[in-house]
Amino acid sequence: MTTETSLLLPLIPFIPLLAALFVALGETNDAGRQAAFVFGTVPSLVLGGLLTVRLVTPRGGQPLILTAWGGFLYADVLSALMICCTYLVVASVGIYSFAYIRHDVEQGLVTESGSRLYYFLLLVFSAFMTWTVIVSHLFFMFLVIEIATIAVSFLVATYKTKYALIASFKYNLLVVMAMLFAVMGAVLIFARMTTVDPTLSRIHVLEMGRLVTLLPVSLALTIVACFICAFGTKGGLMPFHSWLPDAHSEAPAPISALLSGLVIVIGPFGFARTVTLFSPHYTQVVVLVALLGCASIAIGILLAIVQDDLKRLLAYSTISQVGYVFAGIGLGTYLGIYGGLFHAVTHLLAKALLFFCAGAIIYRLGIRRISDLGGLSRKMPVTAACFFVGCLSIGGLPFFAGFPSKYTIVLAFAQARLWWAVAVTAFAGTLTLAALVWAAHRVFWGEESPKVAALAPAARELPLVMIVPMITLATAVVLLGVWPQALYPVLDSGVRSILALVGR
Amino acid sequence: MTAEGALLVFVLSLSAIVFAVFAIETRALVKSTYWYVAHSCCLIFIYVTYAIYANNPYLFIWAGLCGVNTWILPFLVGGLRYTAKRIPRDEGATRLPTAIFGVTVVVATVFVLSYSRLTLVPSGSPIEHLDQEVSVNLLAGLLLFAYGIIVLLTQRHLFKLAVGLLVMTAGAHLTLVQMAPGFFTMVEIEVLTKVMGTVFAMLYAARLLAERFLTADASLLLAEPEESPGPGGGGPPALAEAGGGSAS
Repeated sequence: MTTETSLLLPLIPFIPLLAALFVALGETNDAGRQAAFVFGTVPSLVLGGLLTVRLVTPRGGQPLILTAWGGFLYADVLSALMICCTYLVVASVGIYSFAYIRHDVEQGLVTESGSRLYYFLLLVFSAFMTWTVIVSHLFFMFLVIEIATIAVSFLVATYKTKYALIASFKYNLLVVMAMLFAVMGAVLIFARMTTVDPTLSRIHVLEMGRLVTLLPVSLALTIVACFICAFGTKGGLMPFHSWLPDAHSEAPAPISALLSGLVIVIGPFGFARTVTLFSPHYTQVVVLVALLGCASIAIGILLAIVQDDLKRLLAYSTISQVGYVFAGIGLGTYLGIYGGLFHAVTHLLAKALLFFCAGAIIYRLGIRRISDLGGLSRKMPVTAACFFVGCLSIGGLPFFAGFPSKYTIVLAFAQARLWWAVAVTAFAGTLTLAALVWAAHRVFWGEESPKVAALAPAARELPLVMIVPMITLATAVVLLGVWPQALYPVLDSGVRSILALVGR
Repeated sequence: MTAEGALLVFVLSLSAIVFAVFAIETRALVKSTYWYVAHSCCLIFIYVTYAIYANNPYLFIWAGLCGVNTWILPFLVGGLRYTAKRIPRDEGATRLPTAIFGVTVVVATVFVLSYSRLTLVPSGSPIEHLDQEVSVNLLAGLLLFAYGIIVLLTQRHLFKLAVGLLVMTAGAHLTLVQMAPGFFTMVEIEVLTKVMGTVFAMLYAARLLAERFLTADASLLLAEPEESPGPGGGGPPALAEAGGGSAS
């Protein structure tokens, strides 16, 4: 493995932080904030893309790791992939919010200063999300995760309603409680490492792999349990998921997209950096993670089916989908990690798209109960088409992005001879498709409901600034469905970088 | 670590646990803040004791940081005392967390005594000899961590939940000091900063809720529907179906 120093690494989170400062301190109007947001995210997206290209095509064919600040920051392909995903989703969410939050300000739901805070927090979140994936010191990783968490908790409470405040409080409490479990796991690792090297001052993420074999079994399993609690909660894995439906349903729709698309991905990312290192050495870990993943897949979709609130339905579907990601990554095999990472990306795109569509309905009609909706496809055809694309992808239908990623995870289960897991995923996959398509039918193709008829003048297609992010995401979902190889070089290198940590 | 030092740490650890219990059990929130300060002072003395007896001067910095934290969290605007004066007291307090904690202490002690032995001064590296001996101070750190979890799972008052989070953090720190007394790391700054930010955010939310709905009890807050829901209808967070208790 080759290591090179790169100035790009500290620059990427610095740009959105600078833009955040501008938004917070500058006397800007709406247009100024929006321009600052675009300048704060798009260059970082481009730099993330350059970083990925640099890491995927190293000179001499040796796997490459970029570092900065004396190894305090580092990036492998997995980090670069996460950076690209972060800025893609944050940029989409921000651009979609230009009209959405303006509308909320006009409705009196958000104040002008609330709108400023919204963009400020989005930019701060993107900067600290980037830090999360590039910082090498395990304790610092927890710190930046928590700063990102605080930013998200304020975003969840944007409307400052009772339930939004409670959801925000609950999110903060549960995630920080979970992170304290991660701190405990890190404390145990650190204490063991200091017996090997008394001068040790930090736990480098890249060095953890070699330590795993030095740990007594009971201690190793305790550490794994701590990390599963921590990253399972962050990722919304059942039974640690209780913050997720509340936060999703009380946040503004673009923030729900951010939560479902990006915030929960920190869980699987942390999982890949910690628990996956233990999987090749401890079969108990593989079985436990597969069990938790499958429980999440099945129970999540069963709870989704009974929801009448569109955003809650999507939130429970997220719990189900994240089960695939955790189970795949937890297997610790090439195929499992590949499928897990792939599904994290495809789910991120499709779920952000679905929340944008739900937001479109709330934006136009102010309704989110499925039983109050119906017959919207004639009035909002683009939204209807995008929603349908998202449903088919999450449902795992061929030619949509969700199919190859789910199929890879099922293959990984079969390869690991976990036949019960194959059966659960097949059953839950069918239910997911049925639940989402049924919801799409009731919202867009069913009979026009009296409430929609009463609001007929308002029910029309969205402004262009909201349509563009939706169409971009829908195109990406279809493209990845028909051409899944497009992500192969990145995912392949990402999986190899994880496996290299355990010497495989 | 000498027997004298270990005994001093043991007394301080027990005091930290007792003060944490008082901070949670007291209904008057300002008093609860002062109990938390007492609990936090015990931690400072534990770090100083370790710094002297384990010959690790770096722990003096830890103690200093903990001291700064002990002043900032309760006494800064927006902190514990500020919030305690602005939200209703914990009228619905139950003895449930302490009862569960009592059972946990007994079970943990019996478990340790069945598989290992309790010592005051560990004969070697605490983590390497876990199967042979467990120091009482390590057990105290773990129990403090467990008490934090119990509080978070059983308490309903938003202020007490924030205190529970701080107790849990203290447990994690204490465990680290017991397990690796000679370490050299900047962990304290990171972890403390993190939890401080979160606690301030939580206290802010608690204050807003209490100002509008005249209670900071999560079960009371969730009992009544909101008069003017958020966009799209809003709705109560379905805690039961989500598998969680109120606000926990």
